[in-house]
Amino acid sequence: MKPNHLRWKIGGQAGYGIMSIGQTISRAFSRGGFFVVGYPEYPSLIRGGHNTTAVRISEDPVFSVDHKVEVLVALNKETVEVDLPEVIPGGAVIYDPSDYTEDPIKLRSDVLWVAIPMTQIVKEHTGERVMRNMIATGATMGLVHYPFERLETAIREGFAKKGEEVIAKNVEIARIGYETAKESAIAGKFPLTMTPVEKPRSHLFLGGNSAIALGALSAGVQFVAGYPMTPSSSILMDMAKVEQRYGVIFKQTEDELAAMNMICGAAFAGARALTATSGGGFSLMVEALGMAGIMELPVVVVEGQRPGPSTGLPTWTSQGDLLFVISASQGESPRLVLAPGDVNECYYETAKVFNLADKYQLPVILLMDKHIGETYVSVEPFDQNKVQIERGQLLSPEQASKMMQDKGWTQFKRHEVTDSGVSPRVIPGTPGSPYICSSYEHDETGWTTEESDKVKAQYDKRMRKLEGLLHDIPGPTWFGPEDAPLTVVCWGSTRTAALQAMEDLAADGIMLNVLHFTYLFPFKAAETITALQKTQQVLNVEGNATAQFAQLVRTHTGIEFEQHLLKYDGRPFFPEDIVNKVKDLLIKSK
Amino acid sequence: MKPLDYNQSEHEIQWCPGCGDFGILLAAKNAYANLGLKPENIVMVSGIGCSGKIPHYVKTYGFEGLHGRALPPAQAIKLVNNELEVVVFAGDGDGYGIGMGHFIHSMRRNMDMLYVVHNNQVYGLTKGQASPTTEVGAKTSSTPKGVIEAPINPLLLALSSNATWIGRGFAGDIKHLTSLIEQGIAHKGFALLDVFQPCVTYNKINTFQFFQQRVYKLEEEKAYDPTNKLMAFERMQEWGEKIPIGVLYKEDRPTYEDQLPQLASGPLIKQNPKRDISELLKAFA
Repeated sequence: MKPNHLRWKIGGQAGYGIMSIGQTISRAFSRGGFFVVGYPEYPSLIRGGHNTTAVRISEDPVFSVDHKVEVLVALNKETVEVDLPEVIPGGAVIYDPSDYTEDPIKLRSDVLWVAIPMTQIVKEHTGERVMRNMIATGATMGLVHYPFERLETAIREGFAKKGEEVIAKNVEIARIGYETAKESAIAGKFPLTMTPVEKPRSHLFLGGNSAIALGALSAGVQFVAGYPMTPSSSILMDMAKVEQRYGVIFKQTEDELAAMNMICGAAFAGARALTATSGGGFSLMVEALGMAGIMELPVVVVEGQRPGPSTGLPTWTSQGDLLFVISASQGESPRLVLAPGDVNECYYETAKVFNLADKYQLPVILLMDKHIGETYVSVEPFDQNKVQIERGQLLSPEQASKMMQDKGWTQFKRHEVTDSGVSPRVIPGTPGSPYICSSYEHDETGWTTEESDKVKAQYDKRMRKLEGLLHDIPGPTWFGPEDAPLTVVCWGSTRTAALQAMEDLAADGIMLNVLHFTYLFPFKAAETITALQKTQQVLNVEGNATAQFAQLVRTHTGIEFEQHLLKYDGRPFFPEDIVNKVKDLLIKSK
Repeated sequence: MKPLDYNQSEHEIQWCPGCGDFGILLAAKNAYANLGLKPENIVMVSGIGCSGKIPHYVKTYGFEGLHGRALPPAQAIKLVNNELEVVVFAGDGDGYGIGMGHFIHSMRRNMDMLYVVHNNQVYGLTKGQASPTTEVGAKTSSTPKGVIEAPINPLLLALSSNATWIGRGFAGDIKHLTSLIEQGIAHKGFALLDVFQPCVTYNKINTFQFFQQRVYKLEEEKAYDPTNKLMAFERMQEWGEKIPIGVLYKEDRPTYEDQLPQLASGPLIKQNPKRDISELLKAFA
């Protein structure tokens, strides 16, 4: 155990405040200058089931939680039964003795059992049962000798809206947990201490979904429509919270068909528009996605992946929709697909792709997943000044009338065939240039056509947009030492586990580098070939059963990956998954 | 403005000769002219079907979306720019079949728009299958032995879904239909106008003659009060020898968009999208 490095996990039933307490403890450490990453797991239930939040806290940057912990907080017996194996030798289990008739110490003798009579404390201090999570958090702080004031501040901030009485009660009860742990004889034996770093950083602490919402707001999103679906609902609810403050309209719709068709209407009328859903909802949006393609409408769709097929595992994670979103819709139409690799990218790339949607007048799919959407991390504060709003070839009434005059048009050619494939557009309300925007194949004016040459001209023009788009998006990113004997190739949210594995392996003297893809379609083939030429041995890591990204790479480059680490049980990659696989490979190759 | 000002002159209209859609097209242009609406401020939104072609034939902005999905984009257009006059056109298969969910939710929302349903009681463009409003017993290509499902009554559905204006017109009476479209557009809120629009090719039962012999105008009946829900409920079920057309029901209720404080300073698309979210970022600090 290293001082100032703590892996912590709390478990209990849904309704025990498992997720909220994860936020509180994370904030308490984040405010003390630590890097924090927190990851919740929960079943698709309102009450009951086994819920956990794992938090990794360190004075060094952290990317991912682990399947090993120094401290486990068990709010029920089930947590001990399920999660005890994750506690490292010498670690501690904070538990409530009222859950046991006999001492649980016999379950494992190589860990410290810290008995905190949480149920009894709640009763004595007229608290509610849910507040046991606060006692346990106080106890954790006491155990690692972290100043109580930091927790008190975090409680004050977290409960600010609930009033002084609630705050005072929580602080009181947390302090009892703190003192009980600190004074217990066992606690004195626990060697791990956490000391606030000298220069606290002004970090933000948030998950990928929140960062997407913030990125969209910075990008000037004006219209958001959606139907609640885990794991993307929080993006919609964030918008509902702030719509009046920022001049956004959020519309909860009757279904995802309406949501996608609505954002198409909003884009046609000139607004920046967004929807957020998961694979099931996206399936319902597919017909309108193709419509956005043929109508050339700039829209942004967040697809937060969870395991399918069908309802699948609603509250777990997946990278199983990659090839689906790339090819979704009948016929062919251009689109941009990207999967942010961390919370920073969730903010900055979201803001950026609104511009690309406008520049190329096409749909953008932000491929998220439960893991990146709901894993909370500390990041440098976002710099709004880095976000520019560029609306592309959106003509003002004056520009439109001049264009009509210059070109001698009697009718506005909304789908004018151009070299770039992009045609200037006007929005309803612009005098002199009414046009029809149609889901039928059309000529340059929007009039329905079935004539061979016009059909082909429009099809080619739309697909041509991919050429410019490909030029505007970045290729893959390298992390780690250039000459490493093994390269992990990954995309989207798997980056966090890969980077953590890289650090963990470096500590064992094993060199590894990571080649990560955020932008996935159109595919940066030339850059990928160049990058892969630098590799010695490649391990492709992705969260699906059919190595979809590897298929994509083979399609566009002819390169085939031989080694895969695939996971499709709803769990994200944990660093040790990659560490173990890499060690296996290196042993085999020796 | 004159009706001719809304003509698009470059292309030929592609409906069957004698189609009821011509009557709706003419009545719509008449109504726009009578209301003095500028072509650029009208957006005609449609789905797919014979009715879906109508935005092509008028010189306004048009959005010909997906089958059954005319209402969602129409609502979004209205929400982001409430200075536009949004008029939506759908068919009975389009609007009452595949698009039924949107229909019901649009009515409870009460956004300010007119929804014209070209109700010919048959699928025309796909060659004569039964639609949700086809009468029991009617033999169609999808029901060769006759329809055995009860038809939808769109007016009753609208009444129970909190529509604030419910009218019915007949494509064979253009003057009357013009007035209904005008009233529907002028109504502040969601207006449903169901229009008998005979399909001369595939519906040999509900023909022009069928309706000419049966329809009567509610406004000619002094005792009929369209603000009386019970009276409307009763009259909406009248079918057979006599069939009422006109305004069956109306009420005043705030529109959806008028209840959005975000729109107090004008249409959304005219507001500067550049915003400072520093305050919001603090919540994550």
